[in-house]
Amino acid sequence: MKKLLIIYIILGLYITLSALTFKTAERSYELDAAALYAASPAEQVTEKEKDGEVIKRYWKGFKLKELLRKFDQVDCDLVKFSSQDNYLVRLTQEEIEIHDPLIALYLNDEKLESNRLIIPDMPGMYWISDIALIQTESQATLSQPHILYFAENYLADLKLSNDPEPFIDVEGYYIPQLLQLVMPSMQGQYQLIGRDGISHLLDFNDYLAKAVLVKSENGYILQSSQMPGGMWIKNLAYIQKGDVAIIFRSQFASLEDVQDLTGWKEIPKEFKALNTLKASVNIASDLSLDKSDWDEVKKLSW
Amino acid sequence: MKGYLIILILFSSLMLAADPLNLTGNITFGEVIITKGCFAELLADMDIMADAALFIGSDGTAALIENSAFKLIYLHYDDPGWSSVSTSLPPVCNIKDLSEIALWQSPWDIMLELDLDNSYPHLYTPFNWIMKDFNYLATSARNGYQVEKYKKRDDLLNNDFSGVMIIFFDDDTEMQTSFVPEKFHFDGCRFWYDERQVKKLSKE
Repeated sequence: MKKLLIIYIILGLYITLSALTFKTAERSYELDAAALYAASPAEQVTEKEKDGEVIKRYWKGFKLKELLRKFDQVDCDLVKFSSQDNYLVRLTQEEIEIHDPLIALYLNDEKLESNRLIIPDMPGMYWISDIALIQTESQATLSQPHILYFAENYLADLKLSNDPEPFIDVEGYYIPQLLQLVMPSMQGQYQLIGRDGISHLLDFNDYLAKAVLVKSENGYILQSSQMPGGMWIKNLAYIQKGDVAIIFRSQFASLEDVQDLTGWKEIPKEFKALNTLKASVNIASDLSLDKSDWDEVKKLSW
Repeated sequence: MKGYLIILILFSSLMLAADPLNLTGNITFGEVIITKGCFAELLADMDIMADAALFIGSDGTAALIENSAFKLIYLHYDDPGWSSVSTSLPPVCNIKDLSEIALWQSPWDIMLELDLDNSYPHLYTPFNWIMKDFNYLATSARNGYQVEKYKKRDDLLNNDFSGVMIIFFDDDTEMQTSFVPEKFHFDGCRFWYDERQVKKLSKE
């Protein structure tokens, strides 16, 4: 009887851990990955170089495009993948079209311990394992912000924490310390971009509420106990929610650099700047960001 | 003809005598909306600046709308009260029976700092104090405008305002006292304790 109970518990745990949900704006579906593979089997061959030798890997599973077709979601803008441990990646419609991702269940004919997203020619950080949720989204791309703040001009007035929980041997700021000063609401979805161009769209409650800006040699690393380490953002350069953006000035030489990273459609010739004395002055947008003129700026708008 | 005109004017006057709609948040106290029209123009007529506004319905639904969209939203007064209408913004902006509109602008001088043994002091402008009672639901986009939808929490957040605390007042005086929650109140634009304006509450 005891053995049976243990088997039930293990089976239950396995089913829970391997559950895969597909969610649209209207409803969610529990997926049977094995049945999807049986109905539309697909294979993807990838190559990996190791010690000068090219190793071919044969992945088997079902195509993401096929899944989207099955649930009439081919027109969605984005597909979000979340793993059991809260790792998150998003693919745009264009990336799906170009790379034709596979949700693999087998590698070299051996069953994988957990499913894995295979996206040829995209960095390994996108190859998310143990996917628990696949969600289609129709979120618009980054809109042009009209209110800008420089992070450093606010962080300078905040209390720097030694060993901000749960991290040790580091100095940093809790990110809500900064957001509470410049965002009308801390909740909602934020676009965060590192200087290397890696971009994440993250929900405040799920990922950022406990996040810390850890001071590093070249800027700040966004770390959070709510994110697996692979999602931490090095040299955080830009945060945007709605019409409001926070720029980490030290990461850029000019606002044109910011435009290159974010894809802003335009930069005005002049910004209206509010300084620490609450005086409103106009400031030319082509002024290099290392100039001291920006030090006193509390807010830019146009 | 003259009689009709007088009746029309009287009727219009009655229509204009709608209950005022309170503007709260990061704004000088006492501002109200009394005429219908385009929200951007109504604010401009009153010489009020705002970067964003939370339109709050009496049923607890709310929409956070950014300044660039103010020109696309209209306020009407009709049974059962004020409502917001837009044909260009996401439908979440159409709220019947508005209870108030909270305005956000930053930076804002009036803040309540709470230093209650947390890892860092929490700062609330009047707008943020209103906002903390709402849960984020979703972001909608239409015609390039993003609007966030919120719902008033059923379980309003209770701050641990008890025990001995140090109260810092706006006139730069402070008082250490056993905190009486009933003496603390928020009027929509400012924080008060025992009829004195408060700027910081700190645990002993």
